[in-house]
Amino acid sequence: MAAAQPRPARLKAAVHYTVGCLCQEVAEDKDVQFSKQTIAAISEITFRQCGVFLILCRHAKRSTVTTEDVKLLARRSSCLLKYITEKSEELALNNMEQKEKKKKKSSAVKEGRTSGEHEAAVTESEDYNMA
Amino acid sequence: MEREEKAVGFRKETVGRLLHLHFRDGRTRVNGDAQLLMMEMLNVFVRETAARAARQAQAEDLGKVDVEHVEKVLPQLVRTGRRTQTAAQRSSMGSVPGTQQRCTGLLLSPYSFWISRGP
Repeated sequence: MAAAQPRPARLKAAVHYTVGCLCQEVAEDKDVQFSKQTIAAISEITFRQCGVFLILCRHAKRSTVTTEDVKLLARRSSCLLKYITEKSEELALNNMEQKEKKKKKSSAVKEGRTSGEHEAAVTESEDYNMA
Repeated sequence: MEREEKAVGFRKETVGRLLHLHFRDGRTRVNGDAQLLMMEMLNVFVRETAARAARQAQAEDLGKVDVEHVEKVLPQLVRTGRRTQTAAQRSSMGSVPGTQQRCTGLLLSPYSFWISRGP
């Protein structure tokens, strides 16, 4: 049995696999082939590029990297910035929708718990409102 | 045999681990949405590098993309940190349209081979 690989090696393998899949997509689109060395090179560059990205994010004196920091990485290219901003807005919208769903669920649960006790009071108040 | 369609690209967990690997102090964190955006950035970065390298190979009438094609397009995509370029890079950049870029920034425009046409 092979010993567990150290983390960087496993991560590099994961990156390599993903880069291979992405290159396959591009290869089909452009009708070309990528050599194995090319995929390995792009994989290595991507792996190192994460470190560079983070160096740029660290300029702000905060301990948490946020979406605003990531958007700053894209500022030099207008179409990339637009693309990333759109994705960021989609994420924000998704988060809001999920919060709404949670609120509805928790309020429904609360109503379910208290309905047995206050059912009479509620129906009375409804009649009062309708009158 | 039919295969389920899967989104091609980095997974959020992989990106999270990648970012943590590069943090030396162990205190810096990346919030969930920032991880997702970084995931998109990395997908774009890889696709753009691959697409430009493919374009370079096609400009040289080659059907196979080799490392040299990636080397030629890399200065357009990443900061080199060096003002001087090798002669090979200077001569190669002229063969790819729109390559008169200043290598001073991390990501240079146009970053549009993949984004503008859509996935």
